[in-house]
Amino acid sequence: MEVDTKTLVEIEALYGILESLDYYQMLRVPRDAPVTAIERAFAQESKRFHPDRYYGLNDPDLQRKLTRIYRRIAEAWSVLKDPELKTIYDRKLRADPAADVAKLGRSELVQEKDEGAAAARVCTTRQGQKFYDLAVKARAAGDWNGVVMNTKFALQAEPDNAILKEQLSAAQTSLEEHRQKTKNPYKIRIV
Amino acid sequence: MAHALGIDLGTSNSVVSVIQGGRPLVIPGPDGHRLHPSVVSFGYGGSVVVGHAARRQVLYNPSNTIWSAKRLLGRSFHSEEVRKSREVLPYELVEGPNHDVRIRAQGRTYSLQEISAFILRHLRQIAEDHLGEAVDKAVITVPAYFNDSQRQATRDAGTIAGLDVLRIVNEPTAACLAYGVGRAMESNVAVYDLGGGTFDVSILRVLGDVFEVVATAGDTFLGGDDFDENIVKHLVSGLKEADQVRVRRNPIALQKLKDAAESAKCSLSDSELARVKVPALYKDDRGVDQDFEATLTRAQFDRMSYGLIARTFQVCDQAMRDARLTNRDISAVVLVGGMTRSPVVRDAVQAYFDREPESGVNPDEVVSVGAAVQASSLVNALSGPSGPDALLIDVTPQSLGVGTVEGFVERVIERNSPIPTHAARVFTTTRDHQTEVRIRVFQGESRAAADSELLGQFSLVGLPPAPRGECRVRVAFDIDASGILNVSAEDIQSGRSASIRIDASVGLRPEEVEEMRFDSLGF
Repeated sequence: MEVDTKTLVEIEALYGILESLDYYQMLRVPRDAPVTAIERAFAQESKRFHPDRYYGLNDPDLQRKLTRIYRRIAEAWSVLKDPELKTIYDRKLRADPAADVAKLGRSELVQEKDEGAAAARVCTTRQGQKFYDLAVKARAAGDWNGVVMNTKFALQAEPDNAILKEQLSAAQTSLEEHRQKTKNPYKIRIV
Repeated sequence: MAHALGIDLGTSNSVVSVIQGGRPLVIPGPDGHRLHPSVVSFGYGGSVVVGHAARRQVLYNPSNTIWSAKRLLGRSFHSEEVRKSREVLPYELVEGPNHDVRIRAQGRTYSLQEISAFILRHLRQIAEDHLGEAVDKAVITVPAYFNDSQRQATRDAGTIAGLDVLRIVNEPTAACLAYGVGRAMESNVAVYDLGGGTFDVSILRVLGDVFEVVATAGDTFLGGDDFDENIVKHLVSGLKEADQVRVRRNPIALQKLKDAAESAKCSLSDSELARVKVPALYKDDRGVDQDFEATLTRAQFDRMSYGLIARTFQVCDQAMRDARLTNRDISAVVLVGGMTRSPVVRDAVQAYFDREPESGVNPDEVVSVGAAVQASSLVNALSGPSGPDALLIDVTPQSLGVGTVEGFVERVIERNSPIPTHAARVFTTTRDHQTEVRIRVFQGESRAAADSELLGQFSLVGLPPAPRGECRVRVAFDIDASGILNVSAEDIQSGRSASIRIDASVGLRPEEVEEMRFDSLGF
């Protein structure tokens, strides 16, 4: 089994500049490439640099270098295929093109995404959020009784939450409409 | 071209394959069977039989005949699974030195790794006899949801059997490789793998000959055996109260009934009605042998199976969510495992994915063929980038993290991250003038340490005394292409560091594995 010199030189060169490449450079695609093109590039680069492609050479040093290279390739793809992470990453690249992009790890992007999700949360208390989530689920299932009940519980934890109040009154209206439609005199009413 | 084996080491049956002249070959035993029972039987005078010959011993030599060992492999002796198994298994389980499970048979104690090694050696022998040459390299498959200890135990079993284990590959991944290689697809494939003891589902993105695992989920406590148990319960409930107790208390009777239930289940795949007949199942109050006879309809079997099938779809839901895909994005469904021969399972899967499963895939053999594809591409990859072989990009099946003082787990690597991978997090000290931190590495999806599995722990000592929160320790996780995890911790200020390679926390020490090697024992 032989690997041509060109490939080995390429691996060495890439290994040497690994710390200075952003995710797009890592996958060798332009920054405005559509996700399908990025995916193809990922498949292509995987075939070139995945350590398993050189497993049979029995060369631990080469394996170590390829592992470091491939780790970055996989990380690049795992960020760029996730629309939310890609948006955060692109924003950072644009904001500071000279930034030490290679130092920007996936975990920092994930952290930022989680913080963004936290800011979008309706409730500030754990208890409130728990019941709010249940209310959202109930709404998806068309269970208006459940929406009203759980929103009320959430309001008990956070009596001043304006969004919750608004949603409660909307849910109560919907529940009343729903009751009118499916009137059943034998059902026990829940107020 | 060197041969390397692909081995599906199953709970009930094992299969061995090889790629020969570019084509997969499922290697038959001398008796022509391609499925080899994962059963090891110890006879008098140190004789050991494996496979079909051992399976025949289950009834005649129950306390020295080991089956379903895979269910116990890599588990703690004190785990729920092992506790339950001890009640039903006719052979004796004892606790090993590292809380692992050992088996006593014919007065000797065996680790489960050794039991599995007997099976692996048997398969290797079958392959060598068929190929007419020595083979010592293999890829062995495990359920996708096997944890680190179970994977390590499988690897150790291979070493004991004298095999160079190139890789441990997930069963559904291997199945997808076997299905997709050479098809030049550009699509998403779902693999639904319902085996004897475990259920797995994997979603793969296939781009030509590059196979990227996108999501994997599973349940290690759900398999064909549970469907058999349902039938057994149903059959026993048809007996008189007193006879029910007699059967339940008699492990041999239960085993006979379980075998009968399994064959009834299999025959219901092609017919509407199965007769269950077990001669001399139990003795009545006068000590007279009573035969057991009953019928089971497909409708009855279907009804008692819906609950179990519904559980598999909860797992599928999770995988689809992780993959961020809907049914419409899936363009092929591959069925794996003997249980998927059952029409009720096939129909339910078809309804779930809204797509007819791929035909022409042998659910018993496809995993082993895929393992052979991977083995062959590892040993024969011609010249890196231009090689024609399939490339598999695997993922971590479970999340990994570090335990905190409050009893939580801070995640460092999320499940389904492609490997090799690297991730780091910075932690700070929680006490003033703390000079030592203990790094505990956990695996699992729970945020609570108590519900996660401790893989290993180590200490970083000699931290410079400082107020709490000021000393910063960077903990880095590295997983290489074969899935082996290294964890290191570094004090950012002083540069002092410590690290461990995570080996199984429940299992054999490397020296023990060396001692057990068959070639050194002259087995």
